[in-house]
Amino acid sequence: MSAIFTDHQAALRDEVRKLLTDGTIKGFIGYARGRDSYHPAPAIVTRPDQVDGLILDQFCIFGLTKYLLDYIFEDGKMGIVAKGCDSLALQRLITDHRVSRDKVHVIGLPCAGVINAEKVAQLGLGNVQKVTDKGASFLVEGDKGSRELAKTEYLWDKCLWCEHHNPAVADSKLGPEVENVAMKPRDYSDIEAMENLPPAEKAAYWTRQFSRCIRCYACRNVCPACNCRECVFDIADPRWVGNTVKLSEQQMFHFTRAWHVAGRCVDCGECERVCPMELPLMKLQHKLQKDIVKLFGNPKPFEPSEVEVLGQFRATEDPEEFM
Amino acid sequence: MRRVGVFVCWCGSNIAGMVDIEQVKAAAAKMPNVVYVEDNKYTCSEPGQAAIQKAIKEQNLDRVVVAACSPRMHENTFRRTVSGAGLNAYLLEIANIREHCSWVHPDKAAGTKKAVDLVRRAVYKVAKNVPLQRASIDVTKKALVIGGGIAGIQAALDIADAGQPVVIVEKTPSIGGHMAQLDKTFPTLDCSACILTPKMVDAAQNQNITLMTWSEVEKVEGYIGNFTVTIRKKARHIDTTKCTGCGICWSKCPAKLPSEFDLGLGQRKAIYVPFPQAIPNKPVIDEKNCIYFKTGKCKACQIFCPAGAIAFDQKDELIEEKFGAIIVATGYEQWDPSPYGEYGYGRYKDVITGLEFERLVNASGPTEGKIKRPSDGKIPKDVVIIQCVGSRDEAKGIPYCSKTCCMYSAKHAILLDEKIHAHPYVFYMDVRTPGKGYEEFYKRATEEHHATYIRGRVSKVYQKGDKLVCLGEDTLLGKKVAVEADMVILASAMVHQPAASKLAQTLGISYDQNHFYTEAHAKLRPVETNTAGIFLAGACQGPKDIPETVAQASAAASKAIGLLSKAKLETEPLVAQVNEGICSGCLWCKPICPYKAIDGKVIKERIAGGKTIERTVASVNASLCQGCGACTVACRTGAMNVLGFTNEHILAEVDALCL
Amino acid sequence: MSVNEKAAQAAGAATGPSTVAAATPAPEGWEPKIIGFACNWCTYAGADLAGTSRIQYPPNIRVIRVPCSGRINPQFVVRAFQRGADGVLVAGCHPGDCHYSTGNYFARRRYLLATRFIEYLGVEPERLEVRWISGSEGQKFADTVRELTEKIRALGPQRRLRETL
Repeated sequence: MSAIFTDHQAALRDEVRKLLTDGTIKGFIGYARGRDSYHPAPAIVTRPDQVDGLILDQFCIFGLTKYLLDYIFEDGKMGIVAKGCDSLALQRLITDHRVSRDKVHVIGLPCAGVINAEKVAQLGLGNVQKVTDKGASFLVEGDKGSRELAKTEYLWDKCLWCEHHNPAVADSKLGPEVENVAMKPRDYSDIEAMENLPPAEKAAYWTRQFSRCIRCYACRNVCPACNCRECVFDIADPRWVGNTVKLSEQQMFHFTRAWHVAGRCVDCGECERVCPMELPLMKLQHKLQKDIVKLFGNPKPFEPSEVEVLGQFRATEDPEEFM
Repeated sequence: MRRVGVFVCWCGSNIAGMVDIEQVKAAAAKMPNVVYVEDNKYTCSEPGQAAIQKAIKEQNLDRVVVAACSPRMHENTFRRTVSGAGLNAYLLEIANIREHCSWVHPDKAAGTKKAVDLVRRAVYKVAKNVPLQRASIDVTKKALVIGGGIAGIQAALDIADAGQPVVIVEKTPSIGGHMAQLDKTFPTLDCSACILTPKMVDAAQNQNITLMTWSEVEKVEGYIGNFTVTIRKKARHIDTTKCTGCGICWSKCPAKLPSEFDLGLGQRKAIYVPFPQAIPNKPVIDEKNCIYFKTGKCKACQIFCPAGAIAFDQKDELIEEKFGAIIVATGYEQWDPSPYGEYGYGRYKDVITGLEFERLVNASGPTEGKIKRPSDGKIPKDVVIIQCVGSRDEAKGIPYCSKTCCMYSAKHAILLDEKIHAHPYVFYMDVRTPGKGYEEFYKRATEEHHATYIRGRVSKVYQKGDKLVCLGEDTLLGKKVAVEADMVILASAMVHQPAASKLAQTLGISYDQNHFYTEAHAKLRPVETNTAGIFLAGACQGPKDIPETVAQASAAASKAIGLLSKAKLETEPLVAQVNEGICSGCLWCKPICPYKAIDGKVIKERIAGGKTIERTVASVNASLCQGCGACTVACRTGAMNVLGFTNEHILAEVDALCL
Repeated sequence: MSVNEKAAQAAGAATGPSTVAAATPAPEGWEPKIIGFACNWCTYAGADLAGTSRIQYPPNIRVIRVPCSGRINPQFVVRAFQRGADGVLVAGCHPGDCHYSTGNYFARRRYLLATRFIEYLGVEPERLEVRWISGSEGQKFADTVRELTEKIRALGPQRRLRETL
């Protein structure tokens, strides 16, 4: 599998330039260079002369689809670049009737994995100049040195078990589709280990986690499934969850957030990635999704579907535990 | 600040004996918003109710809590009490300190503590109550009956007799349904046509009944009291205002086809009435098989029609009409027993189904009532009847019991003996005769008519000369049997109409795994559907015999009459409500509603900058909503709420009880 | 362990397994506090029947009446735990008997998932009971409450999600 995003940067710029020029889109949501070569930043371009500021590189991890919510009441189409995982996020927004498919022009980006910048940034390679796909590894060349990095070690975890390498929603695609196989099977062993702890140890673990929460709401803001017009956490009456920073409210907050995303999560992992306090938030979603698969036999728990898993039932086949 | 009055009932010693009333009163007096507390020996009595009304006026109360028995007992009583004093009926809450407290907790101290908590719950909840009004909607005083079999005819006649107009939509050219195909009816053996045709004539002549045969329901919109239905009136190619039903056209028509009514045992023409007593007695032209429609030549019917009623250029018409109530009476279909290859149905001409036998034995059938073998016209001497063909067989057929086959098989046995002195052999798994006179009827078959009942299944039917050998096992004797029969009748199952699920989707009603329509409650609401204003009659809801079908049809009719006799429909205010301001329009609430009461609607809104935008929000049809609240849990933001049981209420109750 | 986790531990914010709240003994005179959510048509009627039949059960439960088990948002359950409930009973009509025909089927899906999730967060599974109790099962209601009360009495006060001042 080879898909180096940088190879498609020029094609992306050309296509965006064309789309802006011929009026297909009125703006484009993409990536630009951020504070260093490891951290691209989101960028919205509206004029052809801004297009050369757009970049694509192997560190473009974060999804852009939630920015679409800023444009739902405006005329015209927005363009966006989307990897496989981002396209699921977009599907989430479409299935939730928050974004209309005909108001988005999607440039799909087949993806064989994104490098975990946080890990690479610690290697002292300096500014990254070039990334080359070597099959099982990436050759990362920086101005202070280069290293060949095993994919299994340096990709984001979610990329390793990803089964959505190619965008599910796209008007055009950058480069050929890549082989759609996971590098390793999805692994719920961390969830199972947690399940097997006695209640007191589970409690201790989660107390340790939730007590660090600063209620910044970054997890909510980045989540494509957290797309309500008004978030329940911002509504004063009734106040489901108090907004003081104390453990019991933190727990209430995280229970509610996870529950609201139950069956709707697309496994983008963004909540956990953006958390400034490094709360293991995907451990909540993975638990829910694991149980959904087990209880309701949903083989594709992360793909948005016409009826969400908690919005349906099977009278005789669903497990009966409450007799 | 609310002004809540709390009224603590002694219920004689029922409450006062186990709960310290004074302590409850003292605690209630300290609860937020409570301005008045009173106790009463019997709050539900007239003096008790008068005391509440007096206090509402004198103390200027704006909310009332009654701590007494279960709300399931007297909530409505006290709602009337408070509204009698000028307060909105929904500004009341009940604390159940009898059933949930004094009657179950012998420890007075603990019971009193709990009673205080229960009162606090009610006090916290009532503070969140708002005045609610019953709404009223108009009712279109006309009923639609879908299906013109015995169920539909009976329902229509009952509604018409009650003075309400009713339209029967029937997809075939005539009303009558399966009952018109039957010969005799069990357990009385009166002739089916003799009891059905007068009803068909009544339906045709009743001023309140409009028959729309050769028509189908295409679209249904609206809700209880106000359905808008589009009916496709298929082209008959006959000007029915001119046609006299003289029959010359079909006698002259050269195209011969197997008759659907006679299940292919007889023939009809391309222009035809399905059976002689058809109502209306006006033919239809079968476009697919008419020589003129196929080749552009012939027109024999038109040439000979003395009334000039043939209208080749007639087109389907779409008719839109409004109805207040709908009765679904679309009946059943006989199961095709072909999957039982071992019985040779379709391979041996003399293996026929029960319904086919009805046509063979019927005086107006293809053999004019003479029971002859389809293969060679011989009169059979030994006839094997196989029960449960398809029924109670999950592997090949259907899991359920078709309910009628035991009885019609007994009937067939009796008729075989009576008419042609043939010997009936009945293979059965069980004989089920739950019905008035049914067991006696079955006994008659065995005792007076010497039917041989053999408990066991037939494993194979094969031809031997001009005989059909039925191999089976008599499980009571534990030995193999082989009966050499001249004819075999398969008591085939009753199954859903092929288009049952499509009609269900059109109507917005639900159906079970066997595609029979689902009643609103298996025991307590057997003729209603979950969609208000739509009722069920007959075998479309599940296998039924004629008496049961007629009973259900009359029950459905009485429900429809009840609905149509109201000038306005009052709607219960405890229904779901959308806070449009915060609704995202995701509509995940919609698939959860069992009443299809939720849909999206587009609202216009001015946003910052002065621009007007359109967005979709959930919208609840209060006439359809029953207030279950299952939708609310799907709403993450809390935009969907149920009045009377709002999120605000329940959170306040939780808080009150945990204090 | 992440940088923040380490920092948090160093700062003493973490509670190690050895100092888990549940290990502390119940205060003198403590009585389990149980919140029940009961559907109006079956379980609430069943509880009424227990009353009219004078079937005794412990006075630790307080019932909140809702139209249907489909109305019982799992967030209400967690709210009850947060506000200090030691146990919660969620109850409705038996499958197939729902007054609204399907509400309890949705409830079943929600609670199959929610019970597991709440347990995962460290609440003892015995504290959240989901039961189908019909209008004719006054005895079952009483038995359910008795068993739940006994289980919770054995566990002691619920401190996992409880609000502390």
